[in-house]
Amino acid sequence: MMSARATLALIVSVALLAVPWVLPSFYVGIFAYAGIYALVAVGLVLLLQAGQISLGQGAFMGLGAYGSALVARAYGVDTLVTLVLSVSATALVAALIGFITLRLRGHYLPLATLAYGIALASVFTAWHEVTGGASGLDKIPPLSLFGFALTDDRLYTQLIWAITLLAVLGLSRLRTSRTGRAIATLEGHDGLAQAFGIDTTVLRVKVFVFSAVLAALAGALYVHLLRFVSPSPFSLLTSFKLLIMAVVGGPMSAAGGVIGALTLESAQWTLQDILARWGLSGNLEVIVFGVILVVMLLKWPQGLWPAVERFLPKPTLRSRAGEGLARTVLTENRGEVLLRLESIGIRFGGLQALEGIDMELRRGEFVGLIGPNGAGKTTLFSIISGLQRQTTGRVTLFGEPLPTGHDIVRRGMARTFQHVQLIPEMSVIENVALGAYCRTDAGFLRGLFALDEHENRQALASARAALERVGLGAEADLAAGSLPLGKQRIVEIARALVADPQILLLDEPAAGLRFSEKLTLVKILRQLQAENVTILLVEHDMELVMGCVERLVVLDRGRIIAQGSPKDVQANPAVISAYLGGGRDKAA
Amino acid sequence: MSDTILFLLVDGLTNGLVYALLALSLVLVFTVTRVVNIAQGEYVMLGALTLADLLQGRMPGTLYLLIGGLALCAILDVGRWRRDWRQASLYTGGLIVAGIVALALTRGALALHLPVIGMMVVALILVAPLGALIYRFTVHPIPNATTIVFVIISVGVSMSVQGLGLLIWGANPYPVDPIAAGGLMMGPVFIPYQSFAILVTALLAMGGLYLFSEFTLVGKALQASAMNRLGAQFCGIPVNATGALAFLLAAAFSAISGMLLAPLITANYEMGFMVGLKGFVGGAMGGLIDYPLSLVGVMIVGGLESTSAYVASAYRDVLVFSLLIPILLWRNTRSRVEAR
Repeated sequence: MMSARATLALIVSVALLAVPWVLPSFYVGIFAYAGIYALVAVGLVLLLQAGQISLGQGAFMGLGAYGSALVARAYGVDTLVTLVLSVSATALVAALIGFITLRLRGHYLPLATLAYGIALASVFTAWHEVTGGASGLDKIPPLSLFGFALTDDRLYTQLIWAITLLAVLGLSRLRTSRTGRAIATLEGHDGLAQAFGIDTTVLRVKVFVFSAVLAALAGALYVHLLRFVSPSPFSLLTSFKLLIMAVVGGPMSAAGGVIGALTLESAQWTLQDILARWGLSGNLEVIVFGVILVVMLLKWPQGLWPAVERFLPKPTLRSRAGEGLARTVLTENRGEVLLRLESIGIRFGGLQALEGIDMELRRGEFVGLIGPNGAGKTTLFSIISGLQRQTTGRVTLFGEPLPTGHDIVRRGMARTFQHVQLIPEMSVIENVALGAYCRTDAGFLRGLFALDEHENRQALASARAALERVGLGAEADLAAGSLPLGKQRIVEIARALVADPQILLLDEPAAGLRFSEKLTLVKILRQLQAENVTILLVEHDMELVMGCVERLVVLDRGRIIAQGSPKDVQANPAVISAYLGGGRDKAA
Repeated sequence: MSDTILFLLVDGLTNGLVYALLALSLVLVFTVTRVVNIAQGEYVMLGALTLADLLQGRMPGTLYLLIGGLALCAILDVGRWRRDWRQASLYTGGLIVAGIVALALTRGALALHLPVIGMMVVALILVAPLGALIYRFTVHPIPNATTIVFVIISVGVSMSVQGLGLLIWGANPYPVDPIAAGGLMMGPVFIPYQSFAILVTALLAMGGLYLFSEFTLVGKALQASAMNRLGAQFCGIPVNATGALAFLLAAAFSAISGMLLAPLITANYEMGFMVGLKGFVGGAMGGLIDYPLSLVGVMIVGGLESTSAYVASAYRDVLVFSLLIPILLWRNTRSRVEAR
């Protein structure tokens, strides 16, 4: 049984594939180019989803185009072979560029893409002996395999659109897969990504390479359709137009790329027609394109897709039936030291934020970390969870040195965040399923080609179970951003639970919670304690802390001033003076 | 051989100084508004072509851009009119007066046949406010957008402005008179006076910006917005005004660089974009935040450009833009050290 949405997608696809056969031959070419640009734009949409940008996508098209055209022309090899070769070569180049540039933060990345875009495009012109320079090369062979050439323009156009639609299908699939959920964290949720085992650099490079592959493929298809290669179609202007297509369609869905490409190509032909009628020549339509780009980003940053999607039937949700991932049964072997901090210190410039922190966390313990504002709780928490490195001392987890960022969760330590880190547009259950990232392994390609069904169902089933456990089963399919803050905090706990942790780090989980929500929280915490989960809790709500934890660690001004049972700590004069003041002057 | 080296040195220095004014603009805009302004180079083009028009006794097309921009500004702010008539009429009145002043100034300058330097000042007065208008249209409505959104917006601005340049001036190049014709033989190498003019103007501009930032209240407000936007806002600094001011000053510096560059290469609608990007390559050396390091960067860019133009001219742009990769790698290792 197909869903209404899938049926509609199928109908639209069939219609698009039929278009070349009903258009007059002049328009077939235009439609073919639209399909080629759509293919690149779809890749750019993926980049935007990952919070990345490329102002040099035209250069990757050019690499694919020149690679395939030159080899085919010189050696007479079947062009399908040269196409695969040149797309692979482009992927290698993109991987190299990606590893160099994608570590860069913020404002460097767009500049870097612009720079290699121009540098590569200049090579096409400058390397005259090989590329034919600015005037280009003709006699490029058509697309062929085993000597059979594809010379029918309508059939070729159909092929282009088939590839583009497959890319859209694959990327739509990817978005609801393990990798797709991880990609959603790449825009501005680095701490979250790291905490749940996502290697953001590698994932960014993968996304970048895939978008380059689509561009190279599009370039190669372009050049064997036109049978002529020159630098101008791969210039910066093309890169900019492709970017506009992606922005116009919007980053919400791969289909946005197709909508953007069709919109912009129609706009271009219409505008050129009008301009010609007014007797104006040159690329004056860019004035309008620039305005479109600015207005879209100012008024409709999500692009046209949401406006289209309103009229579509709801997408089918991926299955979450059956058993979830197996949970580790935790032993009651209390007393074993799981986490040990030895003389931890950290300096920020002239500020010694923490000094000489010695602390242990034993299996099954429920420890509270408290202290007045500015005591260093959050910093200590960041060090324990691997977001920050201490200046002195060492942290051992299960007897080994604390691994770097994204490996920590794999060792069995998961966390929640003080400032809620959920992907607001993504559904609650998908946010929670992010917790299973470290326990599953379907990669980019398995997500793309829908070879992750079993594993994805398990991950979602685990997420569903975790949500039911914390009493949010009914909210599973709402957008996470639509929940009230208190529920969002509980969702964070559910997500951490799906990671199947032995140690759970909770960073102010009760902040902003209503009374009834706090009761739920306490219930969940007690239950986890009964299941022998080791918990470290940072919290300001003293009533909640005192009522739950077995042991308290009190920080003040970067040092531990007291440790012990809640009762002892409450009676400790150092603690009282730290919280209420007064004693401090005498001590000093 | 040493002649060649000397020539390349002078040429590289001249290029470097032109890019220095761009890098100055880019750093100023980035630090105050967090906008990576791909469109910065378009002010180079506007400055050069406006000067070309003025020197040839034509009404510059820039004037229409300015008046159009002011009108659009008035239309966009129509919402204010409903609330406060007095403020609104002052505001629109101000815009109208600004338009009339610009028109009168241009007519006067054309009637008086001012010398090159005079015309440069008039051109500057016409181009610089466009920076503030662009800020009003593209940054002011979404002050908290991400870097990427601003980059894409500036791409749109660049396309539109370049297209308008093509519409107004056409694709033909325009010759522009230098401040002083002729040049000087320094040993075996001929150095045009224009190169000296570039040197002096660049130094004046940099010195002026420094003095302005350090010794005036407005300049300090600009610095404060650059260091901490939110903090500056709490101190009562109108951050939108400082943003617009940064855009205006940056437009002025870039326009000056265009007017100085044009006599060496002729002015055309495409000339600005690449100059802007080369300013970026140099500015990246200072992470777009550090003026002195950006200067070092643009000098390296200028030198590499001259050398490669001499050794392998076809690959000049390839080499110049590939330079960004080692620069960024170097920045990257630096920023890691800083993070530790």
